Amino acid sequence: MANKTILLVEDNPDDEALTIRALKKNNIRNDVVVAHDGIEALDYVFGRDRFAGRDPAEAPAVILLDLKLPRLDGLEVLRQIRANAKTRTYPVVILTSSREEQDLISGYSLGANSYIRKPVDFTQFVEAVRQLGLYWLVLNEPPPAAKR
Amino acid sequence: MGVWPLGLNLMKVNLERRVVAGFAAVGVIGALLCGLAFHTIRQLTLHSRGVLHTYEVLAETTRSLNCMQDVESASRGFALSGAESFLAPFDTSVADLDRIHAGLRDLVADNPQQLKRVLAMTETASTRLESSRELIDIRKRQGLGAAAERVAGGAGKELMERYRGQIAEIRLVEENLLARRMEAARDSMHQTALLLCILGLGLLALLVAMCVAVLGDLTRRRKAEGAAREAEAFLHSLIENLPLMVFTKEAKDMRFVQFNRAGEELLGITREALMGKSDYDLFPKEEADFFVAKDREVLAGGKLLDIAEEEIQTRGRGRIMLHTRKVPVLDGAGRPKYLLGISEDITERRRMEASLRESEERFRQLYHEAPCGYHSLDGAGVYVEINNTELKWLGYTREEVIGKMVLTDLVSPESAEMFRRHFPRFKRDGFVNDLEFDFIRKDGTSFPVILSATAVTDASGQFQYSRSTMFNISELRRAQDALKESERRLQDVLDNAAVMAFVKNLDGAYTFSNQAFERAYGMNRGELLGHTAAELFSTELAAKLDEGDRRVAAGETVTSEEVIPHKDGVRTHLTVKFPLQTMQGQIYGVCGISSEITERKKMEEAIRALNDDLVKHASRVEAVNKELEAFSYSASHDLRAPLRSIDGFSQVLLEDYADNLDEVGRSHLGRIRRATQRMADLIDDLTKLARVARHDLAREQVSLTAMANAVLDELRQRDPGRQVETVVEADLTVLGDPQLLRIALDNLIGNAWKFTSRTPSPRIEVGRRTRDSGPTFFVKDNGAGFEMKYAERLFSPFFRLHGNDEFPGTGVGLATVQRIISRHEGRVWAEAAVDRGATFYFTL
Repeated sequence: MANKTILLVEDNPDDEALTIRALKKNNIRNDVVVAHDGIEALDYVFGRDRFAGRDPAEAPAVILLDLKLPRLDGLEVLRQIRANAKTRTYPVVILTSSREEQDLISGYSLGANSYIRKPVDFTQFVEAVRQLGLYWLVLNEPPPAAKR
Repeated sequence: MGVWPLGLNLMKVNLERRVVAGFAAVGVIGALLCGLAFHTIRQLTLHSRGVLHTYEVLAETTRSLNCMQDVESASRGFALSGAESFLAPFDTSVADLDRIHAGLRDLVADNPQQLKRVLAMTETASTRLESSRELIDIRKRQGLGAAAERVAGGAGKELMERYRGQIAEIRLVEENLLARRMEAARDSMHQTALLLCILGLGLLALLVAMCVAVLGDLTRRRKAEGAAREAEAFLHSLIENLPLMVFTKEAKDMRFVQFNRAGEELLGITREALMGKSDYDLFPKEEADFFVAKDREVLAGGKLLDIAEEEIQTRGRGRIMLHTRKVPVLDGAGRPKYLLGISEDITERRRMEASLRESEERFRQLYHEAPCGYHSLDGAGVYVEINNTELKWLGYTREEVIGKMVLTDLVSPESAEMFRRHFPRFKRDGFVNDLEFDFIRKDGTSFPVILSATAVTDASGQFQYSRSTMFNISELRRAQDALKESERRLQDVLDNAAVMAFVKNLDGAYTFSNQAFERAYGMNRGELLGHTAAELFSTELAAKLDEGDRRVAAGETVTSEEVIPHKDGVRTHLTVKFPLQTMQGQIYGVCGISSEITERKKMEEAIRALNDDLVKHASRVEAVNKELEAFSYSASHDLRAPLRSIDGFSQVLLEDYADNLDEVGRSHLGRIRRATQRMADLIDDLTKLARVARHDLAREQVSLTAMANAVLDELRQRDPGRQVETVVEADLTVLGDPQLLRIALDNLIGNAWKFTSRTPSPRIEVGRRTRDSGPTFFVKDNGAGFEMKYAERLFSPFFRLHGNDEFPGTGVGLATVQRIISRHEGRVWAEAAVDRGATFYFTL
């Protein structure tokens, strides 16, 4: 699984740095691609612009999706990922600080695989990331590649 | 089917005797006939012998003659010829002649006359013979010539003639005798034949008669047998098909020998099963004893026994009642041979009799205990019949009334007069309906009745007696009076009421009004009642007043606001018009109740204006709420992000630059981290508080018990090291918002958990106390507690009694609880003492 990419969609540079640090701390060596807003995220997912040449049929190991994003909202990103046949099976974990019930409802309704709330305490955050990694990269069976 | 022992023996006896007699007669006659025949045959034989005798004589005489002639010829022949050849025959013939004559002498030995003749003849014959011999001699001696001479001498001839004559005489006599004998024989034969015939005929006749008799008897017998068999068959069929049970028992051992179909069906036993058995084999002992006893009685008495009722156990029809007749059947000697029994099932009849009696009793009761009075009067008005109810009403006994009193004796004078007027017509017409009488009781009090009657006539139409029914109408009269009183009351009430009331009939005319109505329209009752609105008011007003009447008449209740023009302006009436129905549901009028609502209308306007304002207000509040929601959402999200950065990078510093930092530096960073955590908590709590305010209150059945237990479980999971005694009362259910209540319990129980962390044996209790105002719930702990003077301020946001190092907390929790409880329209308060724990009470 070391070759599978993790897509991190996060606009806050601090959170980005901390998340990557947490991943490293847990010896997760997968490639991490960072998208700073919704559009970039979809560019990656559909292999456009900066990420032209990427095959959408090949799913990343997991997408860590923040909700509050500039340009295109996280939920919208999720909706588009799920709308496309090729990318529908991508594992998406919503990683956000919001605990609003509405977000939970929307996230699950749109088909998020999981919803994690980012703790303020960094130690807890590292622990959360460790568990995420363990689950999504090791324990969980990834979906098979979509038919071309 | 066996032979019924009636038999045909009698007929057989008769015939036997007759036949024996007949045969005896035949025998006798036969004997007679035999005797007669014997006699006849003897006679015949005798006669025949006689005739034969005569014929013999005749034959002998003929032979004798022939012989003589032979002799003659022989002698002559010799005389002539002198041939020796004639001598032999001459001798022969002489011998013969002797013989013949001897024979003849024998033959006529019985007849002396004839014997004399025969002797004479024989004499002659001898003489002749002598002559012949002489002739012969002559010839022999003298020769032919002498012989011829002798012959010519004719002495021989003369003898011959004499001989012939004698013979002829004998013959004649014999012939006469013969004739006589033959006649006699014929006569006797005739006689005998006649007698034989007669006897024979007689015998024949007798035989025929006997035959006829016997045949007749036989035929009669056969017919009789046939008739008897027919009769038997008929009898058998009769008995088989009789709807009564018929049975026969042998007299000596009382066993059944005969049984018909009806009996089989009645008892439920087939005749094969019954045959040869006795009562003891078939019925219970007591029954069998009874039957056998009766049987013995019959057989001993020798005559019919009628058993009116006997019970018997059947197979298939349960216990039934029989009416049985038993009669002995005697044999020829008069001894009982059989017992014949005929039984009728009278169970049904008995039942019907009982039921009829019951029915009659019921009717008798109905008549006498009826709730009305029944009586019958004769043509003069005298009581002939009266039921108990009427007697009770009147207070007399039956003996005092029947046949003694006339109706007019028991009524008031006016009623008596009315009776006298109506009674004759009633007797003619045959009926009278609904006359009201006043009857007077024995004690002098009176009561009113309503009476109807029909007349009972005989076949020719003559009045016999009346059948009268009367009802006590005291109640009715009382009800009528009560009704009048009620109407008066209604009128009084309505007249004094503030509302206007009226009733119109279906033609629109006013039939009732109260004073308020009359005052409002400036009319008095007399002018109003009986007229329609159109007649009384202006067209415009009338139209308004009649509006909706048609719908009401169709069954609707119409509420409307009528704007009525009055002298002093316009008034608004709230009128309710509804249909008035009879008890059967038929609408007969429109009733209206109007109240003035002019003032009220004005107030309604004011309220509507206020409502409009309120709506505007509410929408503004709604808008503000939405803004708040958006705010709190972003607040919770956006405020946390920087906090994460602060904490995160502080940690990075701690980890990566650990060597470059000393104790103090590390502790600073620790403080930074702790502060950011605290801020995160505050933000969380504030968000929760805001959410509580926004949240639409759901109304559900919430089990506080379950919720409290869940909260405690979570607390235990988070802090497994702590041992806390918890008591949660069962079945605490309440109506409220589950999410908010959960938050409240989280806070209250969380607090209890927190503030007992320093207590040696902590105990948390969640329960309910029932007060007059309703149930009060509480969360109680035995932790740190607080001073009562802070009880009020405890619920203010951010208010804390302890420092964070003593007990962590944001100070928002209880404020949140209070907001939640007040949203549930409840109250929350606390009671506590320092170091003795706190109890938080709340109602919902």
